[in-house]
This record gives sequence, C-alpha cells and structure tokens, in this order.
Amino acid sequence: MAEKIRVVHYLNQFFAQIGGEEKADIGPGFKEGPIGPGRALQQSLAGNGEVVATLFCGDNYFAEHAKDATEELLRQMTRCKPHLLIAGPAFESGRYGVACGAICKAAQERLGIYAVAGMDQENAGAALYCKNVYIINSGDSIVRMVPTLQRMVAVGVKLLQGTPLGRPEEEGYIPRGIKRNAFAAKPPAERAVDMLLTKIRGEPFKSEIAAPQFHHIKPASALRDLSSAVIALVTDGGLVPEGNPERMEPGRPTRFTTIPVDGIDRLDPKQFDVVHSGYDTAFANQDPHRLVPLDVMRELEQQGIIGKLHESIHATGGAHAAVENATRIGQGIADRLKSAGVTGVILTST
Amino acid sequence: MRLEMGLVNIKDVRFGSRTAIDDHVLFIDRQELISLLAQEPLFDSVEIDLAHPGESCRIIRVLDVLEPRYRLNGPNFPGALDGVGLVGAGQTRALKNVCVVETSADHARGRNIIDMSGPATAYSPFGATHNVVLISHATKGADVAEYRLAVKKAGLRAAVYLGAAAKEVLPDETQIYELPPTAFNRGPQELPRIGYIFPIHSQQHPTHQKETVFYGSNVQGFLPTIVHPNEILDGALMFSYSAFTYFAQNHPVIQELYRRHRRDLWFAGVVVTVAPVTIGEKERNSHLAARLASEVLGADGVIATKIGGGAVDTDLMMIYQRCEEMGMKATLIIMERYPDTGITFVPENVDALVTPGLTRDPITLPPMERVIGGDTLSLDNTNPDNTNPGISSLPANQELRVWVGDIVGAISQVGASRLITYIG
Repeated sequence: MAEKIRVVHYLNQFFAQIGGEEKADIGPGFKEGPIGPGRALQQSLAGNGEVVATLFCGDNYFAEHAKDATEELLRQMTRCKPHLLIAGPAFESGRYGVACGAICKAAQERLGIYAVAGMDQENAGAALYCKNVYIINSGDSIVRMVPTLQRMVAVGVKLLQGTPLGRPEEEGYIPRGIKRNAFAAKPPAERAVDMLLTKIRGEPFKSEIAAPQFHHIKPASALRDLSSAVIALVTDGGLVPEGNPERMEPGRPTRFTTIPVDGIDRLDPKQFDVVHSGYDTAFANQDPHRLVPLDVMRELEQQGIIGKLHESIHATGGAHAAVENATRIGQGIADRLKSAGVTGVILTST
Repeated sequence: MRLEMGLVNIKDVRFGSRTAIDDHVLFIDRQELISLLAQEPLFDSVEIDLAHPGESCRIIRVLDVLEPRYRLNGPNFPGALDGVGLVGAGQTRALKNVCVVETSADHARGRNIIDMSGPATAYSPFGATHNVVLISHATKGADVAEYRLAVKKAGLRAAVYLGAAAKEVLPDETQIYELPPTAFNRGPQELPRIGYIFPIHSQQHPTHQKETVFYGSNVQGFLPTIVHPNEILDGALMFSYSAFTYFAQNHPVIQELYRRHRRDLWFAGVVVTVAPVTIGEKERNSHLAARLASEVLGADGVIATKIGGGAVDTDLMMIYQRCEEMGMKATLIIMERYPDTGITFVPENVDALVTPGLTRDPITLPPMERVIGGDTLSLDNTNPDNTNPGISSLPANQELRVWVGDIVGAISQVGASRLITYIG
C-alpha cells in the first residue's frame, strides 16, 4: 500500500487512562497518537498504518449526552482526516460498547470513513449496531485484547481495500444479518437428500434458511355501525395514476402513493395504471375496479350503507416486499388514516 | 421402466458441410438447420451462431436452454414437438457439453445472460458448454406470446436435429435409470422410501392456451399425478418460465435420488403438480400431492421444490405441512431473493429448508468482444445501477453490473446451483 492508513482509535475513560468509574462523566477528549491498547493497535497495523489520534469519552457522559458527544467526536475526527476508525474493544462493558457502535455508525454515515468496533457478542451495543457496523466479537475477557485488535485491523484493511470479507466465523465479526452467496461443497439436491435422511433418522440437522420472526398483530374489533363509518381503500396491487408520475416501484416497494379520489365515482382505465411485477396486470389495467372497488363503495356511500368513503386511495406494489419495508409502509398508511378519522379499511391484494 | 441414456461427449462444435459427429466433434450444416427452423411461419428469418467456452462472448435475451437429445425408440418431446406418445423407456442419446440456447428478440431485460468467460462461468454450467445459439426474428405484427412459443418449439426442433447426429454413435457412457411399477417398487425395510413432489409450473403467470409444458398440455387445471421420474428426464416436460428445460432433462433432485437409490435410500417415485392461484385450489393440490406421496408411493420422506415466484412459496409450505401431518418427513429446496429479508411464508414448524442461493447478489461482468442475441439490454428495475425500469438501454458488450440470478443456470429452483447462502 502506497499510503499509510491513518487510524483513529476510540476508547472510554478507563482504557484512555483517565480513570475508572469516578471519571465516567468526563466529556469527549482528544490526544495525538496511541494510548493504552492503542499501542497494541499500532503493532497490529505494523508498517501499514499509523494511529494518528485517540478519541475518548466517559461512559456515563456518552450514555447521557449521546448526540452531543457524537457531534464533538466527529468534529475532532474530521480534523485528523482518518481512513479508518477502530472503536474499543469494549468487551462486556455495555455503555462503552454502545458508544463504540454509535460512533462507528456515525463516522461511516456522516464522514464516509470505514469503521470497525470490538465487543463481546452479548454486549448491548452488539445487538444495537451489528446490522450497521462490523463488530469483532472480543469475548468478555480483556486477555483477548491483542487478538481482537488484530482481527479489527484485518477487517478494517479489507474494507479499505475493497476486498470481500469472508464468513463471520472466519473473520471474527458478529453476523450483520445480511445474506450472501458462497460456493458450496455439495450441490443443493445432494444437501437436500442429506438433510432429509438425517431428519428421518431423528438426528440433529440445521435448516439453511431461518424462519422469519413476525410480530403478531391483534385485529381491531369489528365496526358496530357501518352507516357512520369512514372507510378507506388500500391496495398492494400497484394502482398508480396514468403514466406512474411518482415512479412507484413495480416490486420490492419502499414507499406508498396517495391517490385522491374525492368527487370521482369511477376509476377510468385511461387515468390509472397498474404497476406490479408479481402478477399479470392486464385485467386490472382493463378495469381498475377489479383491483380497487371504488365503484361499489360509491354506491354503498350513496345508499347510506357506509357513512363516507375516505378521500384517497393508498397504494403500493407489494411484490417481493421486504418485511421491514412492508411494516414501515403499513405503519405510514395506518398513521395517516387514523389521523384522518378513518374507522375501517378495505385492503385488496392480488 | 428402464431408460438407457447414452452420453456422447462432444469436445468441439463447428459448422461443416454435413451435420455429423466425428471423433467427438459435432459438425453442423448451418444452412440445413436454418432451413429446418425457418419453416416456422412466425419467423421472418433465423440465424445460428456458436459460442465456445473461454471466448470473450456474451449471449443475452436467453429464453431457454436444452441439451441435444434423440430418442431411438419413439417420439421426441411428444405433444410439444412430435405427435402424441410416451417417453422414459428405451434408448436415448444425449450430447454432453453442448447446449441449444434460444434467444428471444423481445426479451430485452438484462436477466438471462450467459458469459463464455469471466466470473459468470464460476456460477453456471453454460459458460463451459459449446452453445448453439438460435436467433430468430419475428414476422411483422406477430403476436409476442405466440412468437415466444415458436422460439421454444424451434429450440426443441434444434435439440432433436443435433441429437439425431448421435443416432449411430457409440455412447461414451450409458446411464441406466430404472424403477419398477409403484406396486412392485419395494426395497429393504432399513432404507427410507423417498418421494419427490414437483410443482412444474405456477399459474401466477398463466400458461398460454397453446403452450406445451407437460406432454403437450398447457397444465391449466392440472391435478397432482404420479409420473415416472424417467419421463421428466426424457422430454415430457419443458418449463414455461422461471427455469430452463436443461434442468428437467438433467433434473438434479431426480438424478440425486437415483444416484443414492439402493444405497442409502429407496427412490419411491415422483408426484408432479402445479401451483394454482386461488387458496382453495392451492389447498386441494397440496393435499392431493401429499396424499399420493403417502398412500400411493408409500414415502417416508419427501423432497419438494418449486417453480415460479414468491406466490408458490405458499404452495410449497402447504405441501410440507400436509406431508408432515401425514407422517412423512419433508425437506424443501427454496431459492432466496434478497440479502436483507427472508422468505415471507415460513410457518413455525417448517424446519428443513435448503437454499440454491440468493438471486439478488450483485456481480460485475467484464466487457465482452462479441454479443449474441442483441446489441443492447435494459437492466432489471431494482438493479443498483438502474433505478428507472426499462428506461436506459445499455450496450450489451460493456461491463455490466447485474445480479447473480441474471446469469443463466446460476441458480435453478429445482436445485441446480453451486451456491449456498450464509448470514454475513
């Protein structure tokens, strides 16, 4: 490597040799060069890099003033123009671990520098930040200081060089929850037969895909009086205004659209489109009421069977939705409908 | 029923004055093959091109891939190409290391790429085969759906035409696929009886009225049925979408069950079914498929795979649950799509899933000197480098950022892949 890697090291008050719990209230600080474990970090870097500065903060101070502390640490970090931030390792110290995760995430997102944290996999900071930050699992004992720093440097250097990282168990990081392909020793058909025969023998086996975890939602109680109800229409079938002006995604949705229908009695196929990658949209394009029954709802409204039809239709294209996005979209639509006084919703899917 | 699959290894493919195999080299009379395929009234013109392993060459807009085959004792692809008839018994010749690759001019998306060199070849078998590529141009005003069916029929025609060159050739190896009638298909007590439940199509994308999927049937309203595994291998099945027919001819699960038959399992047989669109039909078909595996095949364990999109995950999970309820153990092969989200429909008791890989895994393919099948392509709507669906048309010979799932043959839903996934 032509240029030496400029590394900033983040420590808490204890490892920065300011003091123990009695000094946990001190605010962010800055020192040039390595301190304490920073010397082992410098050794791990060998000739490839230099610990240009050490940033530190008291555990309590960070916990109580996370935002201010982060701002101040980022400000000081900017001055040293680092390539890489190494935070910790924090082992099982929860406040320290959370601070390491937070400062790494902020440095990556706001300063665009690579960051690696270290802590025990049971540390609260690991659960909070392992999706966003590479966290080397240090274990809970300080005797693992040197090997942990070595792994943190190895991962940091790979990130900097754009070298793909290996599996978590090879590199020592805590899984980020992101699926990746790897070449397998045996083809899937052979693995499937192996798994089935193991299962039949009653021996332990491991599914290659973990089942997703869902929150269970208690359905709202039924409406007592339809004649006073405000009903909204919502669909994940991909209804959009003609020409899809908001460029709604046909699949893998990240957002929803709001289509005003106040004063409209019918969905004119010339004024609406259906954009959805998961089914044949020809029939819904021919007559959008096959997807969203606005016509029937208007009749029910005129007959007084329902109180009122809500002024807009909310729509998204539900194919291949990520559960996280679908949850957020649903929450967003529900919040709007609730604040608009809607009491019932008809969801049409495909 | 006994099928003798005579494998003829081909080490090169060249154009020549006569279609024949000479010392493991396949010579193709280009004009004769073009004339044969140009009979199709929906084609304005047909071209044939060759792509060889190691070449700086990219094939795009791939519709289907087939292995050249010829049945010595009866019809080829009955119902789809030849007239009514049965397959799965007798002698068949298979040309190894050669594929017929159909391209479809209307298939403009980036999905379905074969690279003959570079990183894609690590993922797919089709970068290592000599590929005979069909490029056909539709007549003006031809119906797009019917044109596609014509392209697929042309592929069958070419596969049989080339396979016929092996009629008189002594196979390098003969594979025997043999299972007796279900009633007599009994093994020793200690070997578990394994069945395979195979949904061959998902009607979320309905088949065309004239489409030929199974023995010429468009499989609309198809009910689960027992078929002999040899029929799948020998030309009864061509996929409508979402899988390549090569993987029916070389079905990984069927081949694996045969490979281990009598050794550590007893191959009990195959149930073919279709994934319908309404919940009632899905329940009915999954019930019937599991019942056939249990009561007719007498299976102790079942492997099931799927064809199609996320909607079929439901069918697959239903099949799994019905099998387990009936006292059989089940394992599914199910493809994963996205790095950050799981398969939506996984009931809590479903604990045995095998993945052939993750389709939405980005990969950079280098520029290629030559492109077959078109000059441009537009990448998938959710590709990181193309957020405007269908808008930008890219020169196909340049460096492409695509998904692993865009590489033809990289991830097959019937279990052909070299991949596994892990949580990183």
